[in-house]
Amino acid sequence: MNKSTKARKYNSPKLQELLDEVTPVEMEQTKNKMQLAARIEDLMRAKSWNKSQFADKVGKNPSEITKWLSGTQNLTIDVLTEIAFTLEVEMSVLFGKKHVQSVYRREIVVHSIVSQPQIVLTTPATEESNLLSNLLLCVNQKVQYPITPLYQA
Amino acid sequence: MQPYTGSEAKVYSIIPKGETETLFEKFVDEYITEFRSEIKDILKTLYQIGNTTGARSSYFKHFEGKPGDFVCALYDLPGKSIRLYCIRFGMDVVILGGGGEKPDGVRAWQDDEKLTKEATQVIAFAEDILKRIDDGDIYWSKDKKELEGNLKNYDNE
Repeated sequence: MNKSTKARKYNSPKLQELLDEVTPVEMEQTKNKMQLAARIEDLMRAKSWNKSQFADKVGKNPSEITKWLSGTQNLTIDVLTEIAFTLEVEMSVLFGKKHVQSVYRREIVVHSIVSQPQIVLTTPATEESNLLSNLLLCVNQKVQYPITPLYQA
Repeated sequence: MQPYTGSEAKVYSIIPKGETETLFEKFVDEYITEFRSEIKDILKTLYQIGNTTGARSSYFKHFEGKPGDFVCALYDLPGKSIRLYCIRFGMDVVILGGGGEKPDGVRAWQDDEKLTKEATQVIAFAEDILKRIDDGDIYWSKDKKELEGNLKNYDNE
């Protein structure tokens, strides 16, 4: 007969005591190593590579890749550089930082989104030139400001 | 097991019939004096599996049991001295068994008497758990992330 139960929560004072000996820094080191391994594996899978294919690309044995992905390794900057280079990502991506793309341009064209200014010129009315009275000139200018708070990139 | 169980994975162990401690506690007791640092590494790893990463396949050594029985060992580097056996069900559930010392030159548990005893025991528990899942005595929770049902009175407890 089924007993619809969840496992009871089990606390072991002995295990807790041992875990309490672990410093926050040690715990963070373990966390970082495991998260780094997870990130590398995710990026490898995103390229549809298995361990052997990744090993080929990076010039290592598959057993080395298994170690990298185990979350137990203290990977050096040189190894991380190799990994990032092979995976075609910035090294910061391996650490889960959001990749910020920098755009460099020599020239930025800014288009105003405010309505174009109208310049209204009127001439004084004269008897000879009534037709010219109230002359309205609309000058449609292209506005080129070096900096404007209202722009569309 | 608290505090290893967390948002990312549920961590269980087994109390054999007639005993008061889990297989995992017995394993820790047996090796804490000689391999304190390695035991603490295992505790840290289990904590992160439960609370941060989940039980990723790459954190385990596979094919430690029979094909399809989900028995594996927590990944240990060649230089490490002890090995912990477990039953892993995907990213969400790890059942900790016992383990033993990994003598130099021993590559498979069949090559060492102590490892054979521990691995065989975990394989037997895995078979029993899988049978009970098949029978519906133990089943997955609605979110498929933990085991529920009759979690006591295994035949070989």
